[in-house]
Amino acid sequence: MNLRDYLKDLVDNLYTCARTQCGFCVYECPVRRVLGFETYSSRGRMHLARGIVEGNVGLTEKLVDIYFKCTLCGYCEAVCALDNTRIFRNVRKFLVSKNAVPRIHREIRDSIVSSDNPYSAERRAKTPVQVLPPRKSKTIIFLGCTIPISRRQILLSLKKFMEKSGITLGYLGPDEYCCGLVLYEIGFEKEFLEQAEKNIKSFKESGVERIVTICPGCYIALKERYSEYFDVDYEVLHISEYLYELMNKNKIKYRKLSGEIVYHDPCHLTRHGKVVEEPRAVLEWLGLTVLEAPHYNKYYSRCCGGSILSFYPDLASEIGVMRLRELLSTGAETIVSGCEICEIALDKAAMRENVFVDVLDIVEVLSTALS
Amino acid sequence: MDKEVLKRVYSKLVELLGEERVSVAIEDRLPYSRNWNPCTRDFRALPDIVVLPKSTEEVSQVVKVAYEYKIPVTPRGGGTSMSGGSLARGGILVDMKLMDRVLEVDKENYVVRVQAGIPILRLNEELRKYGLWFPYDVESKAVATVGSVIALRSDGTFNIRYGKIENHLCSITVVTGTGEVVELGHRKTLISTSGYHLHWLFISSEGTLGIVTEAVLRVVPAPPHRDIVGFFFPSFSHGVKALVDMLKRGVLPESANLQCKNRLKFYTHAYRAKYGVEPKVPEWTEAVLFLSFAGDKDVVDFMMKKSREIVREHGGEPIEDREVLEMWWTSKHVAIEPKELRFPWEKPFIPFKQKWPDSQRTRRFGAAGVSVPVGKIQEMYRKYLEYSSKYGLEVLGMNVYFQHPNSTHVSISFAVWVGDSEEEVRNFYRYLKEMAKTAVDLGGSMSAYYGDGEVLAGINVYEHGNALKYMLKIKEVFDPAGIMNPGKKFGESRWVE
Repeated sequence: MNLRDYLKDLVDNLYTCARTQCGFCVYECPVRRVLGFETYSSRGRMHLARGIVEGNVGLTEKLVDIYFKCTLCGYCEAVCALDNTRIFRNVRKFLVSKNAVPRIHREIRDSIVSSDNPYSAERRAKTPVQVLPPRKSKTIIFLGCTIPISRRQILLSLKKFMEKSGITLGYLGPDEYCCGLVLYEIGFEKEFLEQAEKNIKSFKESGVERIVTICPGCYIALKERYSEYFDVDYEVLHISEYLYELMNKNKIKYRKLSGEIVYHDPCHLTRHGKVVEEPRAVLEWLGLTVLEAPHYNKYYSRCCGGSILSFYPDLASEIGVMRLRELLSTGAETIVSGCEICEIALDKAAMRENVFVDVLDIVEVLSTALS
Repeated sequence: MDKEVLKRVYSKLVELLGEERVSVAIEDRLPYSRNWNPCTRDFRALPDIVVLPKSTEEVSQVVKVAYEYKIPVTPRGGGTSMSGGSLARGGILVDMKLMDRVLEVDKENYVVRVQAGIPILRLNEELRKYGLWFPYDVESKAVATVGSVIALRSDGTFNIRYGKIENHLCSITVVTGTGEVVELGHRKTLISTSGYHLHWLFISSEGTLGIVTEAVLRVVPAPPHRDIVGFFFPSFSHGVKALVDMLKRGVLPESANLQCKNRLKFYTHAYRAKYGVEPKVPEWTEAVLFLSFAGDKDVVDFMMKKSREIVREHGGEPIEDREVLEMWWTSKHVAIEPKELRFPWEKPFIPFKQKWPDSQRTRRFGAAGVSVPVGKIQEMYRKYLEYSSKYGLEVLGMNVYFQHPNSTHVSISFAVWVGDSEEEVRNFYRYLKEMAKTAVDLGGSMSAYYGDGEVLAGINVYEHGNALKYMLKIKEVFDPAGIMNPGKKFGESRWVE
């Protein structure tokens, strides 16, 4: 199969982009801002995809690098009308089919396949049953891989939230599997579908009707990506949407907090998931003043580099530093986000810049209001 | 380029900039192969090498290498040229976008010094922190750089108040075709009678004399308030007379656009998307005039009221549907501005549904951008309808941009829909050539906002006659080896027969 077979109708998008050449996506692309060449911007990758379709570009290491370095943040889509990231994902799928994939991406796939997480951690490390015993319920929390392995403070805050509020969510424990979004984004479709099937089977067997996620990656996988392949009948909420619902119905008793925070929009939650106002509303109800990164917020938020942190740490770190500076320019001393991977990326950026700043998840903020 | 020479040039450039900012890879070169001018599906113009300088000194070193080996140098900003102005003919393509720093904001003197690769929108985001504004608002502002608006003398939304780039350009730093760095102009002032004003030569020079690397620009305090009005007129002449009368009577707009009914449709897609119908336009309408005013609210309100009175005296009628006005404004001007740069009523474009790509799904926007004396607009419009029909091109519409402070000197975009086939592209350039010559015949110019580029190169002898010979001599002074953006302004058009 050639790229045209993977893109199908999307080939038209490539020619529309070539006709338009508006360049709205070029300057702001976080990867182009670091690496400089237009080829690393959305318009560049669209030109290049056209080059592959027309047979002017071979499958070189350089080409692979260009497509896999994209953070898929989707800023380009917000300023466009084309399906840019869908095209780039399909190019990746095509590259996977030709075995043209960087080593680190293959290793991460292997880690998910063998250990059910992208971090080569032990399987049991991502099912913290001693903190959160498995419990059947129609509404469950889907923890994902990153929180139990690398961001346990969120897990503890979640536990505290459940204890103090009396609202208990179910948890599948060892029957929860890696959502596979990383595989989907890289283009390992077969392996992604295996993860999806396992999870869907678990949800069905446990009678799950509503799934709450803290990780926006899991949110997008369960809500949008699984349904591209399977009939699913559960509802998916990001924790911010769930808390918004509870607080709107006065189901949580909390003490008011005070102070200013700046909210960082996670790309997967905001641009891909279109969840924009709920996290802000929750933070405001908690009594906080929510500051916005100047110019670049909501649908036009800039990426923190988190999605390529495991693959290209240096590039991700440069992107993270640029975002951190914008967030800190508001004068806030606390950054709140709705994505644990963004929080890790911003923490790393703060360390690199030697800046002392609290980077918290919305769940952590909530838990302080419950003490 | 000869392979051996390429090898040597590449290694010299790598020595200067490092491997990460020099590339000969096809993957890096291909994205630079197009501009916005109509072309066939498979068109590409490739440079041999792409470089990413970060300073004037680095640009100078790059050009010195090019001069030594006599190879072409093509500077590039956002790559949205409508005349193929940054299409390479082999050689070195200099992508200026890493030269995007604001070097100095001089609040007291209302000037800024910037690197030329900064996009206009980015500059305004920075200036906002100081309450300042660079009012040279080109529609491609998200990616169009300061260097490119100098090199093209582009149109701007607010030019009926602030003028084209010459009204903003105090001085520039340039790298000539030998790699020499020269400061041109008058430091931080627009006013001087000393020497020759060589910085003006670089305005619409399209990189043929050298590369502008830094610029000192006048900026203004951001206006406190803005509002818009729109009017229907039975003809373009009616609209022009009303505007002349307004200027005479001291009603001074901040922006003015006069367009035909067809062009209006291009800017009201948000209205159609919302209501499923076209905005109501009276049967008798030929032209639609949109004005904006800026200043204190009471001043703006007064001007708005007065403009309505004057328009009525000239047979026009105001557009009463506020939504039409606002949606038009969104599409025409605001488009991508972040909230901080907009007034509360100025709506952003709908995220994920930007107008441009959405409108170019099967054919593209192609325009003859000419200027004619204001009394000839009506005649030029007739010619536009005649030539577009002659070459089988569907009319997209015409828009008159008032581009000179408090006057009616105009730039006009006569747009048509162009397909990707060889025949359609050929026909477009035939149309363009006839429009260009007609504009000159009517006492105007064949190019009003996109330079000559590759499109009008050679054709422009029709406008300049033996003056072109003197222009070439000037080029030789700055670019003795003829390496700076070859094929633009001089030589034979790649596009027009």
